[in-house]
Amino acid sequence: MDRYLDANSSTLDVEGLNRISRKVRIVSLFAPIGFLTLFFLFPIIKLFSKVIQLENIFSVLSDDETFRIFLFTFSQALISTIASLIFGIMPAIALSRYEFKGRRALSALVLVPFMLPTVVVASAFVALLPKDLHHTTFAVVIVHVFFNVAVVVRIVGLALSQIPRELEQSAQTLGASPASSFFHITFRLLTPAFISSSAIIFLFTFTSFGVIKIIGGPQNSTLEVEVARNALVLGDISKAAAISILQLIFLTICITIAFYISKKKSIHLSSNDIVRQPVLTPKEKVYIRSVTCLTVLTIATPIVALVTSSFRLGNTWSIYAWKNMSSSQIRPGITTGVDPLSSIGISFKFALLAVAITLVIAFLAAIAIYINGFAGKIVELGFALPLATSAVTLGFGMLITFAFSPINWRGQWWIIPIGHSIIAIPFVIRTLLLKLRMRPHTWVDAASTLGASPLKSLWSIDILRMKRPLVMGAAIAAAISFGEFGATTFLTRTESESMPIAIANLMGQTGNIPRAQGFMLASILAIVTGTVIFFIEVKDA
Amino acid sequence: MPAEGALLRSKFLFTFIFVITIAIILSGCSNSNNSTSAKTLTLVAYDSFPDKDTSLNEALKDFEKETGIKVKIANAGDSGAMLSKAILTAGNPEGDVIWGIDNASIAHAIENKIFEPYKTKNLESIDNALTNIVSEDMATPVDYGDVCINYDIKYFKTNEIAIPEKLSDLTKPEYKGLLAVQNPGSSSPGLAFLLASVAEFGDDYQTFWKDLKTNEVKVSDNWNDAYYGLFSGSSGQGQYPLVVSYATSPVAEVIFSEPPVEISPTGNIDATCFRQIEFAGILRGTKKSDDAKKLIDFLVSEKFQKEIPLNLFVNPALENIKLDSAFTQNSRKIENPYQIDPEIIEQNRKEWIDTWTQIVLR
Repeated sequence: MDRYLDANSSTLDVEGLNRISRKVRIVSLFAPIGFLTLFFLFPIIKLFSKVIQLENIFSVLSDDETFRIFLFTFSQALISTIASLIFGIMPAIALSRYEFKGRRALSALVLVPFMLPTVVVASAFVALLPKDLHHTTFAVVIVHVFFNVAVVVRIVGLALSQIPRELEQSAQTLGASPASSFFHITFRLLTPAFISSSAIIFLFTFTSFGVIKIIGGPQNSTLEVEVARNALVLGDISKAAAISILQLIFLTICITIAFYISKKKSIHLSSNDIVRQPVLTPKEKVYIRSVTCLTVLTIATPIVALVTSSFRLGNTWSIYAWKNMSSSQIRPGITTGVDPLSSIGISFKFALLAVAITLVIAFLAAIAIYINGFAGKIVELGFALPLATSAVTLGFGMLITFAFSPINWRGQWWIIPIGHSIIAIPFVIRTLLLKLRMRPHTWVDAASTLGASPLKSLWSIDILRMKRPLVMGAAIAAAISFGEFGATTFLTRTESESMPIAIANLMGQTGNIPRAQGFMLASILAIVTGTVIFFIEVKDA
Repeated sequence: MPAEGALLRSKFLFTFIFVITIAIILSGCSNSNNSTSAKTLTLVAYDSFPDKDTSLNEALKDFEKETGIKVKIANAGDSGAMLSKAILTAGNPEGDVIWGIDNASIAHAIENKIFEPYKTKNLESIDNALTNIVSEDMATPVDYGDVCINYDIKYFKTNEIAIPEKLSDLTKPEYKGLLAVQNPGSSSPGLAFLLASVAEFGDDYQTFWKDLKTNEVKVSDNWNDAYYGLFSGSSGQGQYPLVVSYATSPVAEVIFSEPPVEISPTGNIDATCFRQIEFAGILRGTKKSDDAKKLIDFLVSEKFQKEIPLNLFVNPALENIKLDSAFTQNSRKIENPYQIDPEIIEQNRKEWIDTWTQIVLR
């Protein structure tokens, strides 16, 4: 057993790594901390210090209405997280344990929802769900599950694929039932991955905005929606910031607790890569087939609905939107003011830069977190904070921070992809860290026996194994950048209308042409992200 | 194994360097043409203000030809986001001129000192009904439109129900479950409709909304959901034949339709309309005041104003602009719309919205 498992991970982790010199460790922290401070901490601190007064905080804290909203926010996030885990674990097992025809396609498909703009998906669900369900918590949870199954499949799936099946098999040889061997061994080993994905999903659903606005209806409001309402409609930025800071504090406590538990439960594994097995027994066949069918059905339905709508002009079928993709002109002198084709180009430009920034920073941050002890934990926590921060707050913070030379950057186009990468980095760090922390110990021992320096073994053992998670990270970053409709929409743009904004603008107009064009763009967004991910999955082989 | 490792490493490094290089080149490219010359003005506007390709933008190019001043459009989000940002950056603004703050928030904008005073020399040509709303040297009215109840013509015809004529009709039993409105706490037409009810009923607006709630009024969070998701008159498959929308929505139904239609499937109920007036102004803190003044004058000149209707679907502020027939065919001028003084809106807006929320949503 000792070869595979060691519950006391902290001593093991350090072995080999603690020989890396102190200087190298400290230097590794510079870039990630610098980036986070400049583009996240500095802006939000500046905003909070400018607009918040202490009395705001007290009045918000003692406000019954805000407390009611908090309770709704919390409970829907909790239910959504649990439901996402339950629905995500089935495809996660199928995709990470079995090799079957169409596995890669399915694996790509599962990621697509995560990358679609919430506005579009929520609208598709409004059309699909029966009227009785509109504006209910149940509908909110369904849509949240739809979005977040991808997180479970990615994080839990990756962990699952690293668990040697021999463990379960040997337990079964020793007399354990398949179920009990799964629960006692595999399930236990998966705990950190469960906590990790729960934390992300909880953050996501707690700060949910678009889904709540469209599916939740006006009766159901989250803190995030309240922040936007106060800042953008009622013009009370001060109260908005007060709610935002309380949300941030609450979520920081939640993340810290998650980290703490995850560290306690973390179990060190060493295994060779992916151990997928062919589908053999009839039971397994049924399982794989039903998971595949259900997943395809759930994900394809809203996307098919989107594509269908792009071929509808009022009550008739038409290819008008697709034929006139590159034109904002409807007839001479009349335009929608939105050029669909150019918004696609702009989105690609944003995504490219966002991917580059995300990979560099997330890679450096993951290494720094990995080789540093406590300081690493702080960096890890720091990079999770943007997800806990209200989009309006971050956007407004950037607006007033990058307003003076030498950092007068608010009018620059590249500040938008930087905003995208702030959202993407925590996901990519997570993907990288999961891989880093599954360090094959026999290799480390072999390397040090052969006289490799600690840095050399960090490079050859840890960093070189990062290729696949980095490619995955690039896909995640690209997809987040394509679909992001949060903080950066609160930055002012000059001639840089990206796809989600073009979609929102088109859908905000009267008439069947702009509407069909909006759906056409949304379809393209779905198809492009799906294709990118599919390509990476296939290449990945 | 070592050979494979080296290969992997070089490939890996190559990809990394490649991505970074592209990024740097990209950012370099854009920086070079971003050098703002002294003769460039930034016009801050809401997202639905077109940033290129329309006749509005063509008109702005004419302005550049005449004066040598290039106008760059900066889209700042919806009108609420745009105003909040202008307030946050007051004194160190994101642009030089702002377009599109409406009468429900203009007093808030003035109170927060976002404007540099300027009285346009074209003031006399502007419709008299628009000029005395706020102090003229602060903000200049540039366009106006109305928020009205739109109705599904076919529904009322086939069911042989009389079209409601005024606000108080909406609480009658025959219109039970027919009306969809937007949340005034999140939507600008929603707020306008709430203001219409305040203008009509005064303090009794609460009773009106209580009755509307009994009459099963449907509330959505934004215009889009109400118009396309709930309303039966447009291309959507909604169930509600009455919706709060714009006076120009019937026009847009005709213009943005394919195949073209002659007559709009929807109409306005004139006696339910609330007037929205949009203002432009010079942002305090601009270093280009003189050029900004020229731009304000241009925004209320005939050349620019005549392009407004078919691009922004509102009426020009300038009197005696000949409207395009495509615009006039399906819309009438709304006479005597509801109006409330911006100062009074500013003082009561939050209370009205909160009360409305308590009555209708809780």
